Amino acid sequence: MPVKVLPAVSKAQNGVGAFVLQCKRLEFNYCDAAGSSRGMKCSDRLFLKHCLPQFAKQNPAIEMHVAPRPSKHPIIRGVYINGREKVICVRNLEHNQVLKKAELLRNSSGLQLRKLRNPVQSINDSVRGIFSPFHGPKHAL
Amino acid sequence: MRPLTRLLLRRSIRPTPLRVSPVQIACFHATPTSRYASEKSGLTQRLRQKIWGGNAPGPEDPYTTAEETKQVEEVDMAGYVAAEDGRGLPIIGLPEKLGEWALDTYSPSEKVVDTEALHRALHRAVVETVVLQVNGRELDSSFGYYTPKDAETLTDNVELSVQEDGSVQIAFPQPEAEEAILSSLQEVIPETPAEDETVTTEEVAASDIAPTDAATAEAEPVETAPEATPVSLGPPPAYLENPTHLSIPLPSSSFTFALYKRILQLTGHQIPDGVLTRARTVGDLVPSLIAPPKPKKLSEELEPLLADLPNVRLFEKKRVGLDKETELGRARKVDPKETYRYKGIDPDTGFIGERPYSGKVNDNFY
Repeated sequence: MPVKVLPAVSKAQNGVGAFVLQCKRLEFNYCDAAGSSRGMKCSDRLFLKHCLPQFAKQNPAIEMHVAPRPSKHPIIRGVYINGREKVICVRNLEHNQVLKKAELLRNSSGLQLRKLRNPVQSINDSVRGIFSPFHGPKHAL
Repeated sequence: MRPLTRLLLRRSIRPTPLRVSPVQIACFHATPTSRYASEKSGLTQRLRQKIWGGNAPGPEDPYTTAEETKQVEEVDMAGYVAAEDGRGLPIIGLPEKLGEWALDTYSPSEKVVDTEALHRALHRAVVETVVLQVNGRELDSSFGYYTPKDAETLTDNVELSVQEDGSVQIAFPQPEAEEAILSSLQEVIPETPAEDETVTTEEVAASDIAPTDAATAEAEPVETAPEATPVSLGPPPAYLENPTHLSIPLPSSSFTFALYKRILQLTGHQIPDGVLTRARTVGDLVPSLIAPPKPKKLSEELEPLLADLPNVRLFEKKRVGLDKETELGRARKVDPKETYRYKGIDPDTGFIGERPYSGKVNDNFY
């Protein structure tokens, strides 16, 4: 009999077949009066006035909301497709620093921040198998 | 303790006569065995002598001497009817012609709101105050209750400027303008209505027939200054574009107060005392009269820039949770008027109402 092929379903990996951007919306909140919003809105180098239009054009798949948030520090809130949100407070930052934070949120997924203990992350089984003390050459003292 | 011993102790600790206080003297002489008990002058007299040195005010003995009784004039109370309110009673403390209950306010009842009108009124007040000061008039008694405050003024074309040495230069468009301004500031006291009521019907008929004669007879003795042509409010005057009058210094508190009085009379705006005392130029008074425009919101500036971007949404107001829930469709903003219609209270069933969506009657909401 011919060898049967083991049925296997392809494992989805974002970016292999198609890429789905995890960030679906970025919300920029500022205060009209507060000084900590200076980098977001102040006269010469406005992030919202000068950087945001270009950033929005470069990322047409991301919805951008710009709204005032009186008497609060300025924040950037990223909303992701797994339903989670990530908020970064950009108080007292310059416009280029605010842009970096916006790019950071854009590049993130909605997963919770966790410590990476192993530098290698793979969905494939290990090639040599998991260690077992009962298999392998016997030790000789 | 024996009285003599007590007296000796007091004498030993008593300070020099120049430093003796009246309170200490009172303590020394409080005992009946003190050496001053036998003197004829009373305690009060001695205290007064020590305190005032012979020129004591008031009566010598305010406690025992009776004041001279004033002779009260007996008034005939026949026909006296007690008043229930103050209307009709004489008023004390006001000028003669102000003895009326129906008084107009010093400042207009409605405040001037238009910015241009406020600037015109301010310029007029400054010109009139400067003219009064230059002509040596008393500023404290200027701008009385009946000073005219007509809209047409003679001060529109008067130019005020500050020289390099700090002196104020005033330039009149016509030579007669200064006199005309001074004469326009004279108080015009209206006739009291009580005098008109006493006129009989015959006199009323006579005055109706020949009103001009009476008017001319009253006007003849009054000297009028040469009238300059009043300037109508046509094109905007020069001081609106080049407000040199705002840099005029306020030399004294009487000048500042006279200026404030005139501003209040013309515009109805009050200036706080702190602003008046701290003001050094006329321009320092402007923020109290004309509020600066509200600062522009960022959303107004961003609107033209972000309108073309399809993935950018700009909000003018703060976004609350209800706005997001409404967008998702989970919540709906409910108009409170649409929740129910109140139709009364039934003593048996209770609240009677109707929900507009369901149409249920007697829906008990409790």
